[in-house]
Amino acid sequence: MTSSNSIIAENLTIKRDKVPQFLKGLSEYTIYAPVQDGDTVLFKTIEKPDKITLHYSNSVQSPKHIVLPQTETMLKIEKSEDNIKIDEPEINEKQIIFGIRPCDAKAIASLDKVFLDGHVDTYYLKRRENTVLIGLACNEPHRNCYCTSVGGAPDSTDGLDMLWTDLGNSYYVTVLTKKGKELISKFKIFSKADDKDTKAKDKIHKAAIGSMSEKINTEGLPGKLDKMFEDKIWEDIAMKCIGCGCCTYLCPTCYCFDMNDIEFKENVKRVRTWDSCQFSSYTIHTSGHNPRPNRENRVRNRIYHKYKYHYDNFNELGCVGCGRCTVHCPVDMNLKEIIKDLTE
Amino acid sequence: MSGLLARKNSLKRLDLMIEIESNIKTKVKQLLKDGKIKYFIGYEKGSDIIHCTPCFIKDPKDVKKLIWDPFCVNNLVGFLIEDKKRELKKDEKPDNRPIGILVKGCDSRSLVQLISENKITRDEIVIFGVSCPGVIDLEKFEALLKEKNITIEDSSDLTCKDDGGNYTFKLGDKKFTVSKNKVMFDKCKDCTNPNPELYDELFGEKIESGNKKNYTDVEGIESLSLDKRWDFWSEHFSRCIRCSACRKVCPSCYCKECVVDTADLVITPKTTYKEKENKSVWIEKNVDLPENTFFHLTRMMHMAGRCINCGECERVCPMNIPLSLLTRKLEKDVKEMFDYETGIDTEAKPLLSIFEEDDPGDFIK
Repeated sequence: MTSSNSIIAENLTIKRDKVPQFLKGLSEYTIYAPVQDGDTVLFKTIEKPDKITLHYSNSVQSPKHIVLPQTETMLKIEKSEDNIKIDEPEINEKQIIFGIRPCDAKAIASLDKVFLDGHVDTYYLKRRENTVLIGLACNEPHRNCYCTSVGGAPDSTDGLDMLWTDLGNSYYVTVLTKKGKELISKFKIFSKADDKDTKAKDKIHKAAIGSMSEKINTEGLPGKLDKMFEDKIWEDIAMKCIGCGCCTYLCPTCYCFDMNDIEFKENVKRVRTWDSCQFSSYTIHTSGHNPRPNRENRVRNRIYHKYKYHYDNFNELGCVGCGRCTVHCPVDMNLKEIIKDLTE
Repeated sequence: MSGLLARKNSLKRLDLMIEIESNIKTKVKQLLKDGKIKYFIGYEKGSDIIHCTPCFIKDPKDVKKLIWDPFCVNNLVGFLIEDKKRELKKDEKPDNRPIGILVKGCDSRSLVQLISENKITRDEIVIFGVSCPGVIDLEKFEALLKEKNITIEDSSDLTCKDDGGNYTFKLGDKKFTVSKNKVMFDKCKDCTNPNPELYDELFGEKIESGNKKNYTDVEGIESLSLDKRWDFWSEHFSRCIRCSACRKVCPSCYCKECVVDTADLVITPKTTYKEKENKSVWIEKNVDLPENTFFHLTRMMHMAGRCINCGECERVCPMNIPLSLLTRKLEKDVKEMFDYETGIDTEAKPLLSIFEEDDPGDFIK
């Protein structure tokens, strides 16, 4: 993404009981980490390290909102008697996403392509430049995860500045970027990893990959979809879809947004909000014509975007296999099974 | 649903050896063969052995997919409305045959409500009613498995024996017995209508419920001060991501023009610009506490006397917002103030469309 992403690899370890000290030492950053909230795990800002839950399979909502907020004020327009003042918000908060899963980090790397390749979205850029991603490798992938089927892995380093692996009493820390190196340079609590640590880490990563459910070969999928636009399958899939936006709003790679000017006090602010291609209002024209009037059109669009359009544009699938859309779907729509059907 | 249920996963399909299920299959197959119904809406095996998912059977060959067991939780009634909303494709001929549907006690009340609101007519549906001893809350079930250190990958077979008060589950070589109350949905614990209110075919023997409504949880919230109540709901509503799962899963949320949509979906190419000018945006798209609160409370106001408490909105909420507290509050108020029960009688007029002189009015201030 930026020059800070020059790849370096330095292998360190940190004792488990030193982690709170590390987090406390980062007071100039806002730290987002997985926190148990009732029955769910969510990424939230933390003030005290003891609130963090690192034993989780996947947070309900992906941490994408930290770089792409669901509601973002782009500008405020204030009117006085003889003047119109336009204010743009300042985005300069330094933030860390601690404990982000490799799939979610890979998703942020994919958002980087959308918002920074070619046309640069300055709002996204500022947030992204100020964000450090500290990943946590998945030791026990969830049964609905399928990252290895879509080009990821439980120990993938895409998008990350550091990857931590839980070794039991300590964490194995792979420093990947300059940004990551700068972050830990002032700490003396990290020690060089030895061969034993590296072997232990490799064993854990291998076991995690081995424990993943069946791998699907998605290689020819974009090409196959090319010829399936009018297939009957979309009608069958769409019949049970209830047309909510749960999958898209929990998805770490969905990035569609809407912009609206809304009134606040006597002034106006322009806000960008997430939008979902599963809503019929997403495509409705001013004329009243809706090019995607039925659910089969909208379900097809979501699958085409993930497994074809994104691939056509960026040469990689727009899905990282986190499984959230399956786990939280109100009607238990199983995306992995759908991809399997499509590839067969 | 009593007796032994066996789930076989070998063909990625379930094969339930129970009488009710097999009777359902036989009847559905006959209806489809005779061309009496357009399709049948029921349940089939889902993404793993504990999930099930709605299915739409058009071909008699596919009838074998159908399942009926204590995991069949979805209220399928909303799909009937969706069928009506669907725009016909070019050259597609309308199929006016009725749709077959499987309903539990609570689901049947959704159906009654929709019929009383003239959204569905009786001759558009063939109702397969099934007496329901309660359905299993998967969140509770998965927590139980975790507590017992069992993972569902342990086996591809799950059997469930129902002895009235308990379930005995067998997953591979792991076996455990648990009180039904521990794994049942909260809504089922004080269910007073386990039997379908309306049906063409009834499956299973009628169940004597003997339950009384228990509103302890609602009363707990009612007893809080206004500030505390506001804090409680603010905390929950601020978590809302406005994915619309609650509204889309709800059989009673069928309006084509909804206050939530910023783009007005009833605008057609024939709508004039003058008419468009007068369309209001009621709820902005920004996701924050005021808009979220307005969304949920507006939805609830429109549910008064119409919601039958199937609990689907709470079940599907990915952010775990306790929406049933609100829907149960509605149910309680409607009963206490107007002695009205929703979804019992298809001839009954919807509560908010009738007025009686002795209706209480002291809540209008």
